[in-house]
Amino acid sequence: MYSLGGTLRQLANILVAEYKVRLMAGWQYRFQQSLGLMGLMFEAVIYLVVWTTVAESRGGEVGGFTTGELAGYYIGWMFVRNMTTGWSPQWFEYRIREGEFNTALLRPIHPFFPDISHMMAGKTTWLITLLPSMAILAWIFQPQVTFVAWSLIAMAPALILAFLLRYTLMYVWALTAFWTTRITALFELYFALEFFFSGRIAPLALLPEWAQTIARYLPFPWTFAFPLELMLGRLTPNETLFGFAMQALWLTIAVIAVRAIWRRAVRHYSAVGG
Amino acid sequence: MHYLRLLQTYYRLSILNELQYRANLVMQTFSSLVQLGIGLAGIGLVFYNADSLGGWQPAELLVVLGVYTLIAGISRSLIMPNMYELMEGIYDGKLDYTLTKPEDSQLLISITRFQPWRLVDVIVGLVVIGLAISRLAGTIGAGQALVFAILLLCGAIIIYCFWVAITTLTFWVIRMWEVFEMFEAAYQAGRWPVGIYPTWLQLGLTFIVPVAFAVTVPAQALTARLSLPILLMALFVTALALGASRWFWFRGLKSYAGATA
Amino acid sequence: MGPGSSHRTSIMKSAISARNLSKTYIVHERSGGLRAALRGVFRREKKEVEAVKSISFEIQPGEIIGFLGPNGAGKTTTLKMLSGLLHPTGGQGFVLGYEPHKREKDFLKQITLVTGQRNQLVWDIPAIDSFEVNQAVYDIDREQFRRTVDEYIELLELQELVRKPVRQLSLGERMKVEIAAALLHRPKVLFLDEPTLGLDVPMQRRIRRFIADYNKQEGATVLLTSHYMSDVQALCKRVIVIHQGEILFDGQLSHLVQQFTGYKEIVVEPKERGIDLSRYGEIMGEDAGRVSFRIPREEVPAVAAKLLADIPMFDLSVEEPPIEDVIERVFAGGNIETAS
Repeated sequence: MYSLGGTLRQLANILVAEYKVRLMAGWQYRFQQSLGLMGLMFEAVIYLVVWTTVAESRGGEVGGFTTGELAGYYIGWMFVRNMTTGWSPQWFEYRIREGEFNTALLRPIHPFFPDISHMMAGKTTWLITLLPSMAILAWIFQPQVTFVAWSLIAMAPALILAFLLRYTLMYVWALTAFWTTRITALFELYFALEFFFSGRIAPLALLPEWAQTIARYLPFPWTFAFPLELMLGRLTPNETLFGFAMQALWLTIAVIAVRAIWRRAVRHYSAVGG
Repeated sequence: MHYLRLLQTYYRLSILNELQYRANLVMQTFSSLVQLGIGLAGIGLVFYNADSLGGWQPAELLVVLGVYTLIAGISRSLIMPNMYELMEGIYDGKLDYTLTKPEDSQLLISITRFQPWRLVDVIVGLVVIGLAISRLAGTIGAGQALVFAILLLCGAIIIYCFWVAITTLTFWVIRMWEVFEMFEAAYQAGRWPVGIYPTWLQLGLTFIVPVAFAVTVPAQALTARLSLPILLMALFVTALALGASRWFWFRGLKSYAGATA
Repeated sequence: MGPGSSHRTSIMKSAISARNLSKTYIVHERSGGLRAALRGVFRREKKEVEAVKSISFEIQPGEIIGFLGPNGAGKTTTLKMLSGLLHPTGGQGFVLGYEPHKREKDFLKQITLVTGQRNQLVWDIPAIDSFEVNQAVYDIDREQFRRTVDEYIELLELQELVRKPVRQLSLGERMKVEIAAALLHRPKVLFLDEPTLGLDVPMQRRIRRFIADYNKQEGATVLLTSHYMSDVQALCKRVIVIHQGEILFDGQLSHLVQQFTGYKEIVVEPKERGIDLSRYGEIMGEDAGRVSFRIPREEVPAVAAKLLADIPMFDLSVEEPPIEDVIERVFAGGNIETAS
């Protein structure tokens, strides 16, 4: 009936067309959008300072990170954070209220895909401000990084998978906006867990052993710490392979979850109306 | 007297509105507990790895966390809803309705919305402060408590003035949403005593985003770190902020009215 | 091959088929005051609202149907059910042989829904750029796409409009580009919800003409709701009147007038103004020297003759009552005066 090549080609066309359009639209607001980026960067700076203070009180090192390495971690943090953002339930709530979902539901393509393009367009605009900001912060905080060639190369697919994984997981949450605005509390809990177990509040090595073990079996480190630590050249080849396996596993689970939730979401939406 | 009745009218309306959403109280309590959990886990993680943070002991950091939560509660229930409403009102023109009312405009835009459920954070903050004080070596005298209360009030007022000034920018700037996001993110710095940040950042957190006066200074009052110069400075800055934000508000209003005339 | 083949053959002929279509909503109620608000925290009162009550109709390919009804009558709900946005609570709907709520790709590629809200176009960029997204999403052949775009730009006079960001366009201009975008993939079924709402008369006419031309050229089926009788009169031979979720009338527009009113209008322009003419019949109004009478159909010839004989006048005409009046009377409920 439909050739796989044909459908892939069509999908690629849609992704590119949507990306172009969103980039064009977002470009006019690139300054304002960059301010939103600043918000993200605040978090990194705050915790960089906290852990540096801790390290200095211990003679310059904590969890296997020197103060220079902490600076490297948190500056790389900003890049990975930018590349792995996803849609929030609040954003979906807004779209539903504006009637955008009616348009999306009338189109012969699952909104998941054009939404990826929309997200990527946003990231592109952010990169324009992010990279210079990272440079400035690097000048202020003097990071120490030793790049490892193979590790840097491995970072690329790890980052892509991390994005897809996090994006899909967030999409599941975002879809709950179809039912209820009450899910925010649960989402906050999820976000809190992610904050600790993904390597955002602190490098995972600073967590107690039991917490690090738990983290490994959750999806969180694979959406953030994994590509970040590859960037910094801090993983062994074995750890890297394990990471890719976990990413693949969790991505499969996430995709199944999205499909299940989507069906329910549409059913609910079409019972109640836009 | 007249202003009290005005406040009562508006707040009563907001409460009536909010009571419709019965789940909100449950949600807010849950949310406050989650945020508290994050704060506690963060402090816990710090002290898993060190004995003190910039000279601050665990119980003292709990005081900071308590004050932070308390101020956040006041901000999110009494201040921020009005600021968001004002921002939208400037964009869609609804501000005009407010401006036709025969009351002080700054007062009106500051009291139209009140989200009572968010006061849960104030309770949580007070509980945490109470628990922290009970763990601190010394006891808190009545004088210290009074100074703390005054500084808390000053902190809340300064935060209010800050947000009025920021929201006033909406008169000139086409899209403020991200500006709000950015400043709200900056507040997270208040979870930790501002003394740990590099000097340049401390200055920013004192005079640009007044986190220091809102959180650290009141916390200093309870942890015997407060000095007279800082206390006086806090009072001075509060008065200055009130005057400056009010002046700025009327500047903005003038430009707004001028544009539509 | 195809969706639900056995269904397909039996309703092959109709483009749109509604069989006992129903939609019921559950609404939460609350009365005013603090005590009621507190009570509402513990116990919610629910009420069922029947938006659409078991309506049925068949629409043939190529027809342009006018959907008339006051606000809240169920028009938009029906349109949403037929386009797949709403799941019916009872009955069935078929469009081009598909069940809309299943939202099959091939179904979606052949329909379009245009409402007053922001629809297809990205707000901050020129429409011509948004069109490209439609080309990709609907997989429109590039050559054909170019030709369609050029054609629509000419027909709707969009040359400059498509190059300006959509947010800079006026309401009418926006509607024109939205309609153009909605029809880029040349759908076979059009659902138009108040497409001319809030537009000035020349704009309304242009859009009406565009729709009429599109219908003729493509043989597309059009389901149109509108407040403006001029839309309906210009485009629709057949109308379906919906009130409180039920179909009151389904047939020719001219029959609607005849069936629902036993009155005609006589308009007289007497040479002498200010005369009291009330003894001739019920006076509806007076406007610039012209007096309108509301006369039962059977009495029209007699009254007209008497007026002509008694009153020196410039002009006399006999007209059907304005359709707006007819519709208003229909919705007033129960007040259906039939021709005897």
